[in-house]
Amino acid sequence: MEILAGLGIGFNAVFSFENLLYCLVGAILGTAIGVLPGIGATATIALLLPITFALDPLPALIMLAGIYYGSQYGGSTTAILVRIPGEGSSVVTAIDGYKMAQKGRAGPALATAALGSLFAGTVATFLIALFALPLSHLALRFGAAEYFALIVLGLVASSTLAHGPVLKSLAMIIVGIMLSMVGTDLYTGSHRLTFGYMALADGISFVVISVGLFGIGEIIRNLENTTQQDLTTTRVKGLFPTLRDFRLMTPSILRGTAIGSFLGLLPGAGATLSSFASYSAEKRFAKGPVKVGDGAIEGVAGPESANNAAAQTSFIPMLTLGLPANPVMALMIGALIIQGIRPGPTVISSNPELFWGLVASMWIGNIFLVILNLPLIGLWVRLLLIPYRYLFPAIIAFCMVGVYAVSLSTVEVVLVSFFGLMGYALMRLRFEPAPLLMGFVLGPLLEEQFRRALIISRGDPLIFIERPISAGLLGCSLLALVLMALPGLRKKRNVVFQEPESI
Amino acid sequence: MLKRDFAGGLTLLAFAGVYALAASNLSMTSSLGIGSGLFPMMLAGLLVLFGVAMTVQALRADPSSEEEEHPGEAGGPVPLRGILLVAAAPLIFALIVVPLGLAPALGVSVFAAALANRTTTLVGALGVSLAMVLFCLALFRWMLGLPLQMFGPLLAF
Repeated sequence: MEILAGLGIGFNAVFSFENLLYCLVGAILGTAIGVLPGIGATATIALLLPITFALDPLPALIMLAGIYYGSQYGGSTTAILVRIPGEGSSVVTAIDGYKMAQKGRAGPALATAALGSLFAGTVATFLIALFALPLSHLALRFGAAEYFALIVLGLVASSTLAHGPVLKSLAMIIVGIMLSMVGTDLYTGSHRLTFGYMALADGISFVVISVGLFGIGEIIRNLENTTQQDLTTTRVKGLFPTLRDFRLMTPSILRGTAIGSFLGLLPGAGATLSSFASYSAEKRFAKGPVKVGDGAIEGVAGPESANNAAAQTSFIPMLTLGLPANPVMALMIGALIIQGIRPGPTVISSNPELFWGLVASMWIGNIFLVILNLPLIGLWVRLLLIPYRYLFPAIIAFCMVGVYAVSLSTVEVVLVSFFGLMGYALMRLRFEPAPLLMGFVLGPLLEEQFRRALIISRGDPLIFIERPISAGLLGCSLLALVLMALPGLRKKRNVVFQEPESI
Repeated sequence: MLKRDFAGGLTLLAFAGVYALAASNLSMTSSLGIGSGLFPMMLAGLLVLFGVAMTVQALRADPSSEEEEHPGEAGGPVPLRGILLVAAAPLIFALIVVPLGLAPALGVSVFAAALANRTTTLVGALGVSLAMVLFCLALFRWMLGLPLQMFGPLLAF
């Protein structure tokens, strides 16, 4: 009953002109950047963080969320039509989707992707409503030691499930936490690691790091490859799938939704991994006449449902525990902090219209996306004609004005340049910047809980293993690390991530 | 030996070293239990462990596995012109924005950034920077109403 009442609050909150407008803006922006290969959801949300400063919390969150799941839609459009996956999560869609397009069945492929995503989004929205309350009640009973252990587990899990070597992403998490320590110490009020600069006394701003690493850093990397891609767009005709198509795709959509909903919850996994996992599942279970890999509708339906479901269920740990499951969620937490809201188990009870409003907006946003995407597909593909050489100066302009508008500090603008260079250097050394951002967001919380636990235990570090829940969580983290060190499992993990890349 | 990971490991070690040095004057204990320096020091120690592990792993690794790991993705040349101009843009912006105001700062820095790409012509760069000045003016000043000065004290008559 509580859930129905909550959804009531949510729909009430969303049905205002302003909120619906920002939901639509988010969906449009998300589709656009999903279509454009040079810029992803993480970078866009980082760029728009400064703008959300001028908005109320709910419209800000609604817009950012819309960008995130909207980019999943847009990414699949170009994957199917021109075989350019705009997002990592639509890489596998390009395999069967493009082959369907070549056979003149681009329309049904696009419709399948949209309908599968809508179904998965609807299910995931209900899952959020269903799981959020019990999880937040559980989290409210956590003490400092348990919370510390939970964050450790989240960070470890995110590095083992994400792409790339575990050692490197763990190192990046540590670097992120280290950078978050700069500034004034909450407990003693003394300045730490500021090198005597007053400008650093408030710490390094989250906006600066994310804009630098993901905005400027990505641009420099993209300047490396100067090749222009030529487009041969297939004409889209006959949008609607046949009755037989529906029969074939229904089980795939159900499987994809289940896989995506589950994997979205896990830290680090998210949309990309779930679309890969769903594709392997379709390879094994699909029974249609066309083999998956040769342009089967199941190969589009499964992964597309999975990535959208995962994009939405990854909101659950963020909203209930304050733990981001992926860098986009880390940015959402940043957006909330800018608004003066500390995400965690108390948000649902202290800001019910914010929480339920966001949940309700996701459902409305999904409907917006289907309406936006299916009739306007030709328009979206045109976006690919914008040359990158005009796009990137615009992105840089946005980075600079955005950061300056929030802080009115020129030091922060200079720091953007610094973190941009750092981001590029890290990419050259094949360190992923995403774990760094996760560490940076969770660092202050991690230290706070660590110190609080030690104050409670009067300095006895055994508190972390004497309390059963905390010991269990830390044990799981250790187990995850040990398992990753075993050569057999490491190979298997590499296979999961390598297979779709080698198309 | 894997050159890139060797360099990566050393970078981690260097970062941890500088960080520990900067944190060394912080107190490890306080009246509230642990002090402000303990957690940063623990992190630096942890990073040293990772750095050493990576360096050792890179020294032992078979160099041919590097290509296998990422086929077809060679390092590529460093886009020096791009790096310099893109990184310079925020610096130019920061220098100009207070004395001259947002509009000139944005115009000059975007113009510089646009030239980071070799194929962009001067006219093209000028066009992009003018468009961005107008767009940002519309978005930040008029739509969002942020208190930004378009023209600074040096340009005010």
